[in-house]
Amino acid sequence: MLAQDGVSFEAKVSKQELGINERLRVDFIMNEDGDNFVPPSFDQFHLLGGPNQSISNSWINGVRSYSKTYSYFLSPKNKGTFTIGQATIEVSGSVYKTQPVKITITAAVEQPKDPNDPEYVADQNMELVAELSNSNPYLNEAVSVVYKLYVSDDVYLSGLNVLDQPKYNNFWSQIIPIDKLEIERGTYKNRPYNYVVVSRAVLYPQKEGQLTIEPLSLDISLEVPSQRRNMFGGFLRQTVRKTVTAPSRTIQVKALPQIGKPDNFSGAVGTFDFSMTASPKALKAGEAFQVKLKVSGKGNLKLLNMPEFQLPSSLEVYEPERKENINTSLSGMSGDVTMNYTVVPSFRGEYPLPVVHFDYFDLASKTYKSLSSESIKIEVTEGPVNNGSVSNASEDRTPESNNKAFSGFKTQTLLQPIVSPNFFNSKSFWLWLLTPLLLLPLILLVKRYKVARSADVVGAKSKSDWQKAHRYLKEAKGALGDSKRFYEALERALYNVLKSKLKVPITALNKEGIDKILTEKKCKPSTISDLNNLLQSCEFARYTPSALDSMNSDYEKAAALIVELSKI
Amino acid sequence: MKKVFFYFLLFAWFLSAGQSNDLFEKGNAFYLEGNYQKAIDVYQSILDSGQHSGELYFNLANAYYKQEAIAPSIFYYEKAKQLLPKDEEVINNLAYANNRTIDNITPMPASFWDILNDAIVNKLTVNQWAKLSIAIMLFYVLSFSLFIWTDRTVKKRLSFVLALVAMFAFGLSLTLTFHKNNLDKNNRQAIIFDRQNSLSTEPNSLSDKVLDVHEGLKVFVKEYYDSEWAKVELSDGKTGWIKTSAFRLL
Repeated sequence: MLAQDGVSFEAKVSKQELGINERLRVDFIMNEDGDNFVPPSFDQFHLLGGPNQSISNSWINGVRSYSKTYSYFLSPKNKGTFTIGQATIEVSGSVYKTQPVKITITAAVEQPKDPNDPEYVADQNMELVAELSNSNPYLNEAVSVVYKLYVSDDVYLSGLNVLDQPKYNNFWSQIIPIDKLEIERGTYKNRPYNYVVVSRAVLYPQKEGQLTIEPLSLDISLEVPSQRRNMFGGFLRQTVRKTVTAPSRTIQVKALPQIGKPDNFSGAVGTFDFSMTASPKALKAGEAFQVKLKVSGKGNLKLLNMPEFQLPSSLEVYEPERKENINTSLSGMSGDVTMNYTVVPSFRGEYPLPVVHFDYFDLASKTYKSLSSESIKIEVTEGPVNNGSVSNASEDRTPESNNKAFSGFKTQTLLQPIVSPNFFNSKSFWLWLLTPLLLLPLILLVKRYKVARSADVVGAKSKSDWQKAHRYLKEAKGALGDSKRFYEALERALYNVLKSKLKVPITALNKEGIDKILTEKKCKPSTISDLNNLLQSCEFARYTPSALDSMNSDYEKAAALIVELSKI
Repeated sequence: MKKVFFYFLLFAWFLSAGQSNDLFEKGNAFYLEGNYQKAIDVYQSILDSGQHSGELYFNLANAYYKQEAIAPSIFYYEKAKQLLPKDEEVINNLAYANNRTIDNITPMPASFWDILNDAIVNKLTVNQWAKLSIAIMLFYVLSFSLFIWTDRTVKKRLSFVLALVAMFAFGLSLTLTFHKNNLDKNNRQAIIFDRQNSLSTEPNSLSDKVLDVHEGLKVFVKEYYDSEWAKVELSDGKTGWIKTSAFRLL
């Protein structure tokens, strides 16, 4: 405000209406040096800078012009109309105030496109672009991402610094390093451009669905032509530093088809070749041979699981060695992966190596393909034979080694029916077992009978005496007429009868003894007297021959007597 | 007429036996040519006709071995071993075949009873034990009869002691016969034919796996749950359930 005394103090704003994204500059200008400057409060704004003090003092044609300025840079907080309050200053003891200024904050406005603004020029003449080779790949299919910085002919790129390498989450990524930035010619949006490949990477999506590639940020310096010209008339260049960020890109990752998916699919995607080799194929036990599984081709070589195989337990397999010979280019990985197994056979024999299958998803035909190894046979020519074989535990417990070769076939045989009758528990078995036992009681019986017989000595004697008696009686009958022989025989017959019946020795056979025993045996007295008479007549007859008649009657008597005595 | 018929039968029998032997030789010829599949077919046809021998099983196993069929070769070697338990060629080739099996199972150390069984019981088959029992029984009866019959003191004493010994021997032999019969029943061996299978804790497909088994492994069948599942024991003492289709009983 211009006072009477020529002192002016005023507030000037760069614009009274501005967008929320714009900045406001407020100057407090005085033409006399003052003290105790008190700015208004800028609580409706963010104070970006200030106060900046500037003083200009000039003498032109003896007239001094002086100005002192306090500058503030503000950015609005909210939309609306705000008032910048009064500032005060003291000049030579008087206090001067500025007029309050009304400021209207509108919605964000387009930044002014000032064709001469170097920032604007810079923005217009370069662009950072992420180029994807395929935005809809299969899981584990290679995708390349190339960040190109396009710069038009109007500006020069003078410096470049990668602020942030993008993190490729959910991707297996390999950044392909760029040794030297090279400017190449290209077309972008139908305009010729120079471009620089800033960063490039090969990505293998590891997850299905929508994946986002985080952007890359660059700090670049550009030389932009300014309005000023040099002494030769050419435009002077102005350096602009800018931070540029590529827009983030999304990738839609397709799942591998489920149809025809092999059971032991290990996740290999690409185009592959598979082979299994072994060397040497003939060796001695204890020596080592190598089995190589090799997968070559293009695809996610570093990510794939090599097929595994199982060998007999008699082959000792060492931890395999994985060798990778892989070139990673923008189109993906190519090369080969080799699994090198060292195997040591312990025993001699022929070992067919199992056929190994390698399954992969072929991107060209979009189908699963399976490759099989050729069958390989390893011959171990020398060494021990494993006799303590793993499974027949009950028979051969002690492992014994010998050097016998595998035997060929047998030439002779005796075929027999497969169904052999089971003898144990069969009828004949029990019959054979138990029949002999029946023999025992039989033998026992026979023996007992025999013993009983041999035990009955007296009975046997009496029997033989009785038989003798009969024999003598017969003799007596034959000797009828010859009185001497007749009576002798008759007497013997009688005595034998007595011996048999009375069971007494012949010495005891006198008359009294006989009588006594017979009485005891309750013999009839008539019988006893008959016997005595007969024995007497036998005695007489020895000395006096008797007539045939009496012989006949005596024979009759003796016979009757024997019958009688036999009843005792 | 009857006589003619009898001779005809005899002739037919000879003819059939001769045919089988011819087949055996035919199989051997195929084997020598290296035509193992045909040899196998011929040998199998002999088996199908109801005849077998240790040599036949041996040659059949060899043919399978040459064809790199692990499980059948071990199966028939074991069959041959049953008929020719002492044959070194069989044991030797079985070792070769076992070298090809994948499982490495360390047998349990033999217990006292195992050693005893091997030393005594397993020396004879059940039928041999049965016949031995009968022989001892006859001897017992004879010696006891002698004891009964004789009157002489020396003979009587001797025969009595003999009879007593025979009686104990008979009891032992008969016990061992039954024991061997039991052992055989509990020792049902089988060979795994599936390329890969696993023993489960329960007779179903859902339960936990005890361990993997591969073709050619010898197992001992302990019990059957149904026609589909059986409990088997390995020679290291591990047990588990496996599908009956996975193995073949010897």
